[in-house]
Amino acid sequence: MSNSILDFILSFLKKVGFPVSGAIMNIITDYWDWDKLSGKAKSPCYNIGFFGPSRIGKTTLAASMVEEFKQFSSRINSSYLKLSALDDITMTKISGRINDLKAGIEKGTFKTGTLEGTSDHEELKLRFEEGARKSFKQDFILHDFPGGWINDPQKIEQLNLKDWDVIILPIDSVVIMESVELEHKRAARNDLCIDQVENFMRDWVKTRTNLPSLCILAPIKCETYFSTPKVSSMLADKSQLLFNKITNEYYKDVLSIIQSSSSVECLYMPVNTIGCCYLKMPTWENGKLKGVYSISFEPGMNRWHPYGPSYLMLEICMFICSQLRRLPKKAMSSSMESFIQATSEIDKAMRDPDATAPEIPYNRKKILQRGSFK
Amino acid sequence: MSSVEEQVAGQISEIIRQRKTRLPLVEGVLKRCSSLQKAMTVVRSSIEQLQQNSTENEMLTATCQQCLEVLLNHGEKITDIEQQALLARKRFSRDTVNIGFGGPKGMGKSFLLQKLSGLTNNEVPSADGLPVTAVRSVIQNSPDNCAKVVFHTPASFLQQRIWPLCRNLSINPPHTLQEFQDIKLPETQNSSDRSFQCCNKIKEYQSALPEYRDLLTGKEKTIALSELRPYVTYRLPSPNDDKVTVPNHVYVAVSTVTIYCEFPQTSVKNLKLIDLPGLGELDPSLESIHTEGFKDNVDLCLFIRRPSGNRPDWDQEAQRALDTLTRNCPAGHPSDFVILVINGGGCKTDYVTIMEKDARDKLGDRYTILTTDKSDSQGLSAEVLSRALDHLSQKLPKSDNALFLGISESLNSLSRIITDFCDEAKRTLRQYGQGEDSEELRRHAAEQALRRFARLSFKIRDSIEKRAVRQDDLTEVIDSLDRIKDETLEYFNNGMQEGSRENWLEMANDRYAQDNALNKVQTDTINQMRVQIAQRFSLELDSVYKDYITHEILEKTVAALNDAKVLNNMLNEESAEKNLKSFLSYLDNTEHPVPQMREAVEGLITLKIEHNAQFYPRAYDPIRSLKNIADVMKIEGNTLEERCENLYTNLVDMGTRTIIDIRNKIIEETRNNLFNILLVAYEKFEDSIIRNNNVNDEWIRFFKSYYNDIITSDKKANISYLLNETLKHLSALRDRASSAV
Repeated sequence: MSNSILDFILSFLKKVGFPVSGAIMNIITDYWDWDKLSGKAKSPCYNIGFFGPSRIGKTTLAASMVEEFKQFSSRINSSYLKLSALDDITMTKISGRINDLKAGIEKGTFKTGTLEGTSDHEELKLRFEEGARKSFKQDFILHDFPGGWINDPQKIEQLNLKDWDVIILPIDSVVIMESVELEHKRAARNDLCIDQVENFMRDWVKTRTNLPSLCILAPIKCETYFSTPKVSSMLADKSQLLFNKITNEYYKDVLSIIQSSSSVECLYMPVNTIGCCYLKMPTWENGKLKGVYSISFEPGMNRWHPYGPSYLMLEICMFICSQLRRLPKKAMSSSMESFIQATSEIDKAMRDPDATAPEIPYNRKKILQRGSFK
Repeated sequence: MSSVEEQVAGQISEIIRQRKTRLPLVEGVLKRCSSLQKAMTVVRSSIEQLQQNSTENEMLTATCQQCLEVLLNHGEKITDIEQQALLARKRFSRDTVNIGFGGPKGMGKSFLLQKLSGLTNNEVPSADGLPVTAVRSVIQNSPDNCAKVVFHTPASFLQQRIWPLCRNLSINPPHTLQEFQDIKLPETQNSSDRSFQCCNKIKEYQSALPEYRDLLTGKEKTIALSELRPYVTYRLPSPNDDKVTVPNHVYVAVSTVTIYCEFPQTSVKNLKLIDLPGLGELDPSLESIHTEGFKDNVDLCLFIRRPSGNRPDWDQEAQRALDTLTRNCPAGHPSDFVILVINGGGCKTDYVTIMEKDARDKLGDRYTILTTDKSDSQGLSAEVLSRALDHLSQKLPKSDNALFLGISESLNSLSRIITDFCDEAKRTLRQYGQGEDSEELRRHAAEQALRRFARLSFKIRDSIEKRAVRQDDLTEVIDSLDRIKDETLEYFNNGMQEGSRENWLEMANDRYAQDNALNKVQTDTINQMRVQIAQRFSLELDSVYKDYITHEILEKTVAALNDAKVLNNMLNEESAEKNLKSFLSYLDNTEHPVPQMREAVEGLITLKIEHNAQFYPRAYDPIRSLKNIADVMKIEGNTLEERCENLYTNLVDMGTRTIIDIRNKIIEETRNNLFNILLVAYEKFEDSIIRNNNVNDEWIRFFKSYYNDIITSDKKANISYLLNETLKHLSALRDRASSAV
């Protein structure tokens, strides 16, 4: 396609107020490239980033999202949506993390911090495929990077944040809920790297002006603060307290930054990445919170039992679908439509109480900001 | 029985009944006397203290001294009235009317008693011209025929028999029988001298001591009338010859004798006749016994005289004897109390006439004079007893009335005097105690102090409010909570009540074997944990909150009171609470009440923050969760031992989580609310003591009461406080005295 025509189209789209992301741009150019369209129907890659300090659980969250979604979607008969790793490295990383988790639980105790941290920027390359015919493929990358980079602006610069369509902010619920004394609250802010998160979000929101984006606040290690699933009979439901502390206290300014942009949708989705242990007693060492965890004694709960990560994956998929729906009609292929349809089906199935998934934590989700692109 | 006799008998019964109805009134008098005495004691103590501390103020000291002297005087008068009331009570309590037979020796008293009572010489010995009756005998008209003898104790024997003799000899009275035996008597020569006669008497008692010593028991003995004589007479018939008598000293040990027999010639049943040893007896102790008995024990005295050839007239001896009798007349005119009986039996008629005429000339018409020459029971009863009873029935009601009214009026009069005294004392004490400072000075000083205090109080409130807004962590609370947490966790980890984990597991195993289930163990253990948690948290935190109250409010308020010179640094006790209590007592002792200030300070002293009431309910949810799971918790395990171990681990984990949750909740609650509670309490105090309506006036009243102590710069005793206290006690005494009227 000639550049002059392309430029004309771009400027026309801009004039009529139709912002174009990199991915959309790729689709349009592909439209002109019949070879690409007639041959392999594939949408360009989406970037999903996890942003948070060291040891917060980014890798565990990513692995849980993939593993649980795969398990779940394979049980739903009507689903034509498949999730797979694109390369061995991704597969190895995910399965390795899941095995480490299960091994730690089988030993009867669970200690935080024993899982290996991420030492470099790692990309988990994944693909959604439209079910039976596998005719539409949507690639996306989960970006996992060392938490230590959060304090290194140059490293962050290397990550090319403006291409990140979705940001997931894992939040350590234990630090939030167990910091009662004022000095602990002050330390918690440091532990969660709130300032760095704010700065990052400010930059990201700026780069994503007029570009549809999704931010998910994902509190993790929530087992102690929700009464379902029942990890221990005596745990009371403190979900509202957790929500209030995050949105009104610690991440209040982060939300303000997000709400200053009209194109960023923001969701609140607490998840359990382990699911079978709860915090028995917090201890503080040198201002840092350490936890002593107990494995659940509830029948059937003494194994790896994530709750909710698959729904984060579903939201990513639905976000991608929403972008596809924005394409001009002529750019929409039938395989894309099948893909979108398959996503709707799986969404419906995952909310269906009679579905094979035993629990539906969708009610944990709260919409904090609806983007204007919908 | 004639109708007149019946009438008299009825009147006597009615008199006795009427007396009983007066008893509550007499009790009332005694109660009022006691109340006045107590109040006067308090006033005396206050004035003494005021006097001791106001040595620099001569007028005040002198006024205090005068008040003390007056109070002493009034106290003695109240004591006198009390004594009269006690005697009246004794008199009105009796179930009989008592007629006493008095007069010098040998006048025929005992003979008269014999005939009137139907007794013989054996019971009531009598002999012409000789003293025979050694003991006060009481004869009661009664169908019983016996006598009750009450013996002295060694102490009463010495006091009643020996001490009067020693007083006459001006020697130290003995206090023991041994001392009595060892008495050194003075040398006396003149046999007619009273001292000589007293010495002889003592020697007689000493030598006869073995005869009666063993009887000095203080006990009472009932004997037949035939055995009475030795107990009542000086001399007994000789065993060999009835006409000869020998000395008898058994009577010395006798205190009183009561003879019960049926009077042959009277229908008055509730009647006693009292025979008294002769007036003018050698033994002066007998005279005191003689007159003592009249005060409460005799309603009418028959003064027996017998004219002799030497002195048929009413001579000085007779007059002196009559005076002795009438000295103890209970009430009314002596002529109501004493009837002269001229015993003319065996005398010349002329002598009787002379005596009667002379007595009437000297005594006037008021006295009733009976004459008789009868020697038989019937005749004497008609001429003496019946007429005496008739006299009694007429005079006794009036006399009783006069007695009671006399006591009542004395008390009322004294009460009025005391009331006036209190008013005058308050006026003069106030005048000399408070000085000549003007009203305006006090008002100004009060207003200045109020302003100073208000400024300082604002700073206190502001400091509390800032902490309330800032919501700082309360380190003392957190430290306490951590201590409680550690102790409770140690308890849980050591098997709770079982003492160790191993013991607990053993217990669980045993119970499972017994019940085939672990539910009970589960429930019981959870209950133990719940109780421990509740108790441990409650015990320690109240004292932590109390410390906050003390440091943030009480200490600062006391400092502000001192800095504002509200009491010129007189609040210097060792603790803030004591200082505020001291301030409260100052507020209580103001001359005019200061209720708002008082209420404000009392509110601070009683301020409490209780963990169980104010914070624990808000941190209760974790306990509720723990309780709720008792029935629903399910524990798995492949073997019994495994299940027990899992149960124990789970319970300890849950208990740990519960404690953490409660701890965190209490930290938040106290951080958010403790200082709000303090702020609200302090604001309430401030509003009452600074901003309330009319509290300005209260400050002025307070300053008026304590002006001298507050304003003077050099430290001296708290005269204003003592003065106010004295004025308050005088008001209380005045109230009691005026209510007694």
